[in-house]
Amino acid sequence: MRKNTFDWFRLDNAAKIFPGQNTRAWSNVFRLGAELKSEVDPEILRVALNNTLKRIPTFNVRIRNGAFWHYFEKNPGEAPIKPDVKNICYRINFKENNGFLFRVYYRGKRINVDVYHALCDGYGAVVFLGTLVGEYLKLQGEEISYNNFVLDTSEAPRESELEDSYNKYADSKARFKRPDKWVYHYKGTKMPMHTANYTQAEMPFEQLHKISKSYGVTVTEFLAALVIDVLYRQQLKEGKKKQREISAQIPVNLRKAFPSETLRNFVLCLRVVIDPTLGEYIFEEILRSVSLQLKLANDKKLINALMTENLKLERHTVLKYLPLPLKDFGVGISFAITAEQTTSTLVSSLGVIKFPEEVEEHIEKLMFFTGAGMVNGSRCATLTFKDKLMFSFSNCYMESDLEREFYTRLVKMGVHMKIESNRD
Amino acid sequence: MSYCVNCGVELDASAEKCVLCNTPVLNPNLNPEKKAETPFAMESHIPKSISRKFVAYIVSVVMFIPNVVCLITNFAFFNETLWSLNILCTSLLLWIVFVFPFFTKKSKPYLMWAFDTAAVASYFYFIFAMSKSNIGTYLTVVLPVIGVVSAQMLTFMLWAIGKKRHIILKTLHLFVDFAVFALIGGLLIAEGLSLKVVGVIGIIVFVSCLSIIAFLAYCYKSNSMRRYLSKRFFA
Repeated sequence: MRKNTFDWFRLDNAAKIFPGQNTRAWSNVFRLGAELKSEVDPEILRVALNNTLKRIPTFNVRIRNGAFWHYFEKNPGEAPIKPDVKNICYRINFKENNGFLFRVYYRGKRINVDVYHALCDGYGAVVFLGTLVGEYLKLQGEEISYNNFVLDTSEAPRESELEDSYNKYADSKARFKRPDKWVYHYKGTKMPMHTANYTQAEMPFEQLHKISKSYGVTVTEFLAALVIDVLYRQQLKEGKKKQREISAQIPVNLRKAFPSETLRNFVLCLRVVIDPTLGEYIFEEILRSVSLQLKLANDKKLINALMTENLKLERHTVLKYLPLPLKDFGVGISFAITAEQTTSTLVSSLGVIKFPEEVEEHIEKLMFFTGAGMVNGSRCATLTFKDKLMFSFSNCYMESDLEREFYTRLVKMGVHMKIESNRD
Repeated sequence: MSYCVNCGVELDASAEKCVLCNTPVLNPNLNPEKKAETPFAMESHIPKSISRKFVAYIVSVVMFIPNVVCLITNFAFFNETLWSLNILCTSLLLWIVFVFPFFTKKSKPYLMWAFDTAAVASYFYFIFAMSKSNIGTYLTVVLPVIGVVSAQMLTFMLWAIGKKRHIILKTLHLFVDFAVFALIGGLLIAEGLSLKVVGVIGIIVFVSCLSIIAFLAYCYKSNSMRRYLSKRFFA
C-alpha cells in the first residue's frame, strides 16, 4: 500500500461529473437510513462514526480544486452528526459540514446518511451505513459478526476498496452511441428551492416476488416496468399531440460483472425505452419489453463500451489538460441539454441487503431515497432488507399523482403496503 | 393502524391525512392526546444563499466612492468644467438600471420599465443641457428613439410576462422589435441629424432581420424542421 494513499486521491470517473453539476437545483445526494429497535444515542453514534471513518477513508475527505481536476483530500476535521431534517437530500455545499461530503442524521430510532454521489454509489453507501450501525451496536456492548456490508473497524482499509475500477476495467475498442432524444417528463408545480417530496412504501417482499414470478420477470424489472407504465398512461391522459418516448435509467452494480471490491463509484445506468408512437401498449407488453431490454443491455461487453465512452474526456490527449473551470462549465452545459432531458425516470435498486444476523436482529428496516431531479417528477429507489421491500419516490413537484397511481396499482394487485412521506 | 379508504394503503400512525390523496384519517381507536412521532422531521434546513440586497449595497458603495472622489477633485483642482457631473449622472443611470432592481423583494418589471425609461430620458436631457447642444435635436430625435425602444419593451413585457410562450416565438418577437427599431430609429436619426447613412444602415438591418424572422416563423410552424434542428444541435 502506498504511503500517501489516504492523504489525497483522484475522483473516479463517475464522480468527476458531479462537482460540475453541483447546483442549488440538483443536489446529487441520496439517502440511506436504518431504523433500529431502540432509540439512537447521539454520543455513541458520534464515536461510531469516527471509528467508521478510519475504516472507510473514502468518506473521510473534503473536495479540493486542482488545476485540471477536482481531487479528494483527507479531511482533518470531525464529521458532525445532526438531528434529522425534513428536506432530506438537499444540496451539500463543499464549504459547509466541516467540508465532509456526507451528513449523518439521527431521529428517534433512525440513523440516516445523506451521501454526495461523488463519494460512492449505493453499494458503497450501504457498506458505510452497515459498518456505522455495526460499530454503533458494538459500542453498545452487542456481540456482532462481519460480512461484506458490515466491515470490522479494527481492520485496516484495503487498497482494493479505494481503487478507481472504471479506469481499471474499461478497455473496450467499440464506440457507444449516447441517447439523443428528448423524452417525456411528468411536470407539475415546482417545490421551493432545496425542498422536495419523498414518499416511501414498505411492502412484503414475498408478495412482490410472487407477482413478478407469475409474469416471469425479476422484482426490479417488474417495478421499473410499472413506473414506466404509470408514466406512459400519464402522458396519454395529458393528451399531447406529440407523444414522446418514456425512458428509465436503471443503475447496475458493476461489481457483479467485474471482480472489483471498490467502495467508491462503480455503477452504470442502463436505459430502457418505450416508444408510444409504435402503438398502444398494455402493461404486460411494457413489462416484457423492459425485461428484454434490460437483459440485452446488461451485457459485460456493452457495459465495457459504455464505461470506455464515459472515460473519453478523462483519457483525451488534449481535453484532459483543459483548466478545471472550463471543464466544470462544459459539464454544466452538457448536463443541462442531456442528462435528465433524455430520461423520464430513474429506478435505482440496491437489491437484497444481507447484514450479519447479530446486526440484523437490531434493525427494523433499511430505507433508500434518491435525490429529487430538476425535471423528472419521479425518481425511484428500492431495496430489500429482511422480508421488507422499500420503494420510495423522490418528487420535485407538489403533486402526488404518480406516487398515488403507482402504489394503488400495487394495492389492486394484492400487495399490502404502508406509506410514509415528508409531505405536510 | 389507519388505512386510507380511498387508496387502500396503510398510513403511518402519525398521519392526519393520506399522503397520496389528502383524505382525512378518521380512526376512533386512535388516542388524539397521544400523538405518534412523525417518521420524518418537521423542520427543514434551508441553506443560506447570498443576499441580493447585501450585494446591491456593496455595489452601490463601490459605485459611490469614485463619484465622491471625482466631485472633490473637480471642485478642488480641475474646476474649469463640471465634468464630474457627467460621471455622476452616468453612474446614477447605471445604478438605476442594473443595481436598483436588486433592492426590491419581488421583481417588478413594469415599475422598473417606468424608472428606466425616465432615467434614460433624463440622462440624455442632462447631457444635452450640459453640453449646451441644440435641445431641439433632443426633442425631435433622441426622445422619439427612447420612446420607440420603451414602447417596444412594454409591448414585449405585456405579451410575454405570465404567459407560456414558445422560445422560438419569443425570439421571433425580439427580432421583430429589433427590426422595427432599426427602421424607425435609423429614419429618425437620418431625418433629424441629416445623416443619410444611418437611415441606409437601418434599412439594411431591417431587411436582414426580415429574413431571420421568416426563418424563425417557418421553424415555429414546421414540426419536422424543429425536430431536424433539435437533432442536429443535439448531435
